Amino acid sequence: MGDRSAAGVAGTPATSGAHGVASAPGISVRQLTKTYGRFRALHRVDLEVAPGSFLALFGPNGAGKSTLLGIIAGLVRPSRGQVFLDGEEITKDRDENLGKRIGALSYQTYLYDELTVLENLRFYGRLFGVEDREERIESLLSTVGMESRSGSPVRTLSRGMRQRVALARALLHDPDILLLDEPYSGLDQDAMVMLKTVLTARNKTILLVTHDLVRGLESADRVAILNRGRLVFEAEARELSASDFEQTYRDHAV
Amino acid sequence: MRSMLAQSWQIYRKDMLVEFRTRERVVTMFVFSLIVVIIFNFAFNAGADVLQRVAPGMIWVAFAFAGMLSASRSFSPEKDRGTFDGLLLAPIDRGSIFLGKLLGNVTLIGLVQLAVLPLFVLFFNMTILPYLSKLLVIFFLGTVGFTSVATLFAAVAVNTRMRDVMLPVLLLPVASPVLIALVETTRTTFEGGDWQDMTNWIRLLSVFTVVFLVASVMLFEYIVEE
Repeated sequence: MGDRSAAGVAGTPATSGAHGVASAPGISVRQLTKTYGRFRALHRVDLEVAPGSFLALFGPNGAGKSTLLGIIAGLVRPSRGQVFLDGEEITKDRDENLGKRIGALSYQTYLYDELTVLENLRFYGRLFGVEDREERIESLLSTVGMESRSGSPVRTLSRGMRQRVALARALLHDPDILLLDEPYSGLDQDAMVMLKTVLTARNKTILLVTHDLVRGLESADRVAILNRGRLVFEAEARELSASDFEQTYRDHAV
Repeated sequence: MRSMLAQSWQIYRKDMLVEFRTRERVVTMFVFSLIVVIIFNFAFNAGADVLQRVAPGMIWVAFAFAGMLSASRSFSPEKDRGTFDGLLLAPIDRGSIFLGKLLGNVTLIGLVQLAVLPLFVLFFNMTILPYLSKLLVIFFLGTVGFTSVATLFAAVAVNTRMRDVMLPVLLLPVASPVLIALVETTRTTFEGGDWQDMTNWIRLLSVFTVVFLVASVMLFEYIVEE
């Protein structure tokens, strides 16, 4: 087992990722706890995502993965503990500029069904203060293969197409950090390849939450397993074969 | 402050575009207010004098419930589809989300008032033209004041399991001073009263509106965080 003492324990300098780029900020989670009434969603979680690296987080339903992403994104207030971006605490007071650094892509697309693809992207572009908005939208729509549907209302798009547009929305403001919660949801094979290319080609710090063990292991520099609110396993992805990791997952999370 | 207003404007524009495409809220509010006018008109089968005395109460019952519908629907579809998280992730002052939503609610309630008030006049045989300027001030103050609280509590209620029940339970006790003030000022106006006859009520309306508007902008950030 590539246990946590062996690999990148919170607070210790983490290894540089495969895409390792100094400009992308690192994420440091310290003793993070979140309770909803008597239910403990997260319990003293420590996690490091090195600048420019890609960490895939796995766990069964209800393990606390989305709560963890929500806290890092500033959507959920932790009960205890801290989150640092580049050594700067973000959990104490909300920093408006945090949104400029984080791009979020989840199974929920954050798109308005009644608006067209272009109207949605323009709306988010204005909210995120994107300069050269029109050029950026055009370029991203081309990247995700949706330029021909830019005038279509989102409600007329398939699940996979919406997810492509959502990816363009998440990348619109060129964030340093990507928080991905089941981003492969609804994507066809071509779109999955495109998403993987987009993610690996860009120099960003990425935290991916997924149930897809093989795809997560393939893409990430490091992997971690969360179960019942606790971080139970963490290792370098290259140290694990797919079959080993499936067994490790069964041992820790099932 | 300028950027906050600009961000609110973006959210308002988006909400109005969505509403223009669906007409979901404005039609529901109009139909609801119309039904209230018709039912009350038949229920109070009394003389013109009695009708004119109860009319202000009926007007504000209709608009208060229409306002609650609008406030509730300004958050619930966003919450259900997950787009509200999209707004919360944006690098903006969260008070601007509140202001954008408030502006949208005030616009829609204002449109419904414009459409329904002439019907009230028709059904209850009332004269409003001589008091129009006074009524405009009272309606504006009251609508902004009531809608501020309604929008804030709609944001609270949308996170609860029984959100449709929670909104009136939370809102009506807090908003009752403004509703009472609105009924009193509207009644005094219909009776031909002057500003001096309703100074205290107007003060109450103004203070309530300013206090809740400012407090709501400041509190919104804490309300929307889980």
